[in-house]
Amino acid sequence: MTTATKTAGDGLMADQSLGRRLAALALIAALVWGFMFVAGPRLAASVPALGSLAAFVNETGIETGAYYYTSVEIVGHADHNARSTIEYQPHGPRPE
Amino acid sequence: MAENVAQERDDVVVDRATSSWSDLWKKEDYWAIWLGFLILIIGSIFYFNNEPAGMREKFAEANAIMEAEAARAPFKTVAWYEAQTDKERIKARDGSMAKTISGLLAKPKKWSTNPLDSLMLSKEEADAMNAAAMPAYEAAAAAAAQAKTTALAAQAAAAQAGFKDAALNAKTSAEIEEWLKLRTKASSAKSKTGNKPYNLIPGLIMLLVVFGVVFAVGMQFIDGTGAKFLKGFSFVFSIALIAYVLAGQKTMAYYGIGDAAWAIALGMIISNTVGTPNWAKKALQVEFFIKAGLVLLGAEVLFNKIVAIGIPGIFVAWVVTPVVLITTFIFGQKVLKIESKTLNMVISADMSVCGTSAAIATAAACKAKKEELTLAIGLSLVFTAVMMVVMPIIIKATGMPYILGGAWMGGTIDATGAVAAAGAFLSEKALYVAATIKMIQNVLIGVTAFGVAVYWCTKVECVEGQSVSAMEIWHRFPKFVLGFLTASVVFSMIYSTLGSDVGFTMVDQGVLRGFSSPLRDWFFCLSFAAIGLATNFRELRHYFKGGKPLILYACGQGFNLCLTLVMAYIMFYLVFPDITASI
Repeated sequence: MTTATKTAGDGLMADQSLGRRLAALALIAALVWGFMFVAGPRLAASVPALGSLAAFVNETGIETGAYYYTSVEIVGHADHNARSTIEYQPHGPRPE
Repeated sequence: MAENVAQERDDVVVDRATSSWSDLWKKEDYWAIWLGFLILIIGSIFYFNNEPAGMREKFAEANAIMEAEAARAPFKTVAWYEAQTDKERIKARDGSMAKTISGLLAKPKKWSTNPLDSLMLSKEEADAMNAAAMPAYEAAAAAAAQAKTTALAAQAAAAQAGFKDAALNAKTSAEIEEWLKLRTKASSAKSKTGNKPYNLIPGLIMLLVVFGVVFAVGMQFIDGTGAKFLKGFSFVFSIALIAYVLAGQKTMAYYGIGDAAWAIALGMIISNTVGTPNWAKKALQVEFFIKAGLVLLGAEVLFNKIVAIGIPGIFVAWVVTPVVLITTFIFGQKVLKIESKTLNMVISADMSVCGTSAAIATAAACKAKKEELTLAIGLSLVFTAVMMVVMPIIIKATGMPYILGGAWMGGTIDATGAVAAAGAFLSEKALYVAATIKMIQNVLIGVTAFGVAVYWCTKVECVEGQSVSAMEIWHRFPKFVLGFLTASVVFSMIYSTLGSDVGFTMVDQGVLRGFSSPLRDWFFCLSFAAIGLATNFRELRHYFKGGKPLILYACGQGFNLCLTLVMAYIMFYLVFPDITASI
């Protein structure tokens, strides 16, 4: 990858006073807190589909934010199960 | 690779690349390879010399049961599933030494109200949590035991009829599926009763020191700035650590917001408000971290995984995905006329292959700008969160078979964690199909990264009309891709040689998940933090001009959804219904 023309530190508020920059940081931190502890849970509680998925994620502890299969425990088991299904595919007597 | 621009006759400016032996210790591509290989060799030596006791005998015993049960009944019986579970329980990373190593590499844990819970837990707190979770576990275990009794009774009735009665067989399969569901629930409940006290702080300090020193040595060789790097590294590490803590918060899991998103967001918030401190800037080595992580990721790209679910899986993941990737890229170039080819490629790969990990690999292979990677990951996160919630609703509302639904979600939702959650939310079988398809698609990263690197060297970076020699391609080729592919080929061969059971235990549940994968995760998280700390909102806005990236992603994903659904239906229900029936 290459770096863009702007260098680190040339942030959006680089020309603002330290007070304003700190205030902006505090405001964003408050918004994050609000989403984490107020808006996020309320949204999950008010949208039934999201609420049931949230309850399920809580119950199972699935790592929804993981992006690769080796970071998700359950995928390893799914893979092994699928492999065994192919290797030991049921072929016993069937209805005529 | 060193590049220079030579002025040739007729005033034609030719961009020439050169290589030299000193690149081996002066270029981050090679440093990434050496570091990645060193980690993989250490992990391999440790795990392959610590095989779980009696592992092979236990596999032979379980396989004999599965073989007998497969011949006895036309469906997977209770004993078949129990033998399978016995095999899955054998993990190389469960050894005492392996657990110590995992403890040292552990990321912050999950928490709900107090962020310190992610780093420390006292014995009293652990005991209190276990006691609180016990009633739920006891109820879940009782329900699972009852379901097993019912399933066994149904199975006995079906066996009594010699498995010739279709209605009894179907009833048994349904009872077994219900038992599996309740067993998984009981297993999850049990894990909540096994909390142990922990203190991650010493391990995190050790990681900070080890990572800092190793990367600083690399930087010293690369450009002689090891000391400056070391000075700023603690800042980047702290941002990555906070990202892990925030990603572990309970609510974040509802929306699939992981450490990658938090690391970029935190970095951007800091750089665009108070500003990234000058003393930390030398530690923003995005490429070094990312390439080291990618070489480790190579070991997780196991090519034999593509046959996990048979031919239908290969078609859904390995035929649809390249078609969508190439079509979306052409659409971006010809129809949307996106200015930056690298942005177009990163978004196309991110959307069609597997989200963040594909975006990282492709961005590094085509030398995309960090803002382009940030944009692609951001789009992926938003779409993933929406699709994780909406797709199961659509599947349920339309009465779509869960196996088809699982294949559809596995082929289209970007992040693996979100695929697993959405699949498991439908049913155990949907989870198996969704997760396996996603895993097969994950493996496509290797081919994609290599293909993109070659395409960029031979077609995009050369001047029109100028011929590109083999040496020129070599000079331009991002060398870390070779390390990535070598790790992939070597670990794929080891896995194949060991066989699926031993490979699963020693490679998947040993070297990878127990050692290299946590380190790879850290390296990527560090790179995301560095990207955020070096990103300017104004730059990002420039790339989002006209909303073209969003249009590209939405159109590509729409095409992906249609093609994946059609292919999954054809493969799982028309061409290979036997495989579908046995899943």
